[in-house]
Amino acid sequence: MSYERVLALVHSGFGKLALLAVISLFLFHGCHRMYHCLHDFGIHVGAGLKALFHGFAAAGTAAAACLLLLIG
Amino acid sequence: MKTYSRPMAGWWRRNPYYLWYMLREASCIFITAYALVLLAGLARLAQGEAAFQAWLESLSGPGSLAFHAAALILVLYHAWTWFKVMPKTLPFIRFGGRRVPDAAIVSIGVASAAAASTALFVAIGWFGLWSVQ
Repeated sequence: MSYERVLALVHSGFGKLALLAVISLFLFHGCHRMYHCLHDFGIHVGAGLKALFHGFAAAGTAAAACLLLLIG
Repeated sequence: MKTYSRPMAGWWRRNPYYLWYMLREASCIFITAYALVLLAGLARLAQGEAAFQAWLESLSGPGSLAFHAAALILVLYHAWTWFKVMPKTLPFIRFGGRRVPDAAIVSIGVASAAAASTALFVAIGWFGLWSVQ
């Protein structure tokens, strides 16, 4: 896990795709289930909270995509 | 008008089965946190070598090791429970005129997840991490 090796991974198309997939899918999976957990705790969730949780995952995905393009 | 809603505080502490369910659901916090740790690493990578080394060092403490171990155990448990209920959530699948048995669905699911994880792990090694001497 040296700097050069991780940089080489991110420079490759496959590395970009793999990192974006892991970060984005984990974020969406985690946030989606946190949103459903609120229901289990008896908190009535509306469209606002749904947008907040999924929006957070979408923002994280966009940030990861921007960083991957920035690193080049 | 305010309708009656049944109180449900602490329901999941009353039955060990529900406790296991909630433990499994807690994995979503660890999975989100793990994704954010990776995202932070990507941001540090973009800032240069010193920043990236600092991020790596911040992950070497016992707290970080405990977090990653807990996240791994929870995600494995979550994956196992997910495939365990798959025969109950899928419509009946027929193969050669016979219904595919539950045990086959569970084992194919677990094997696919293991194969996909191993393939990603090996491919990351091949395409990136070991490409630089």
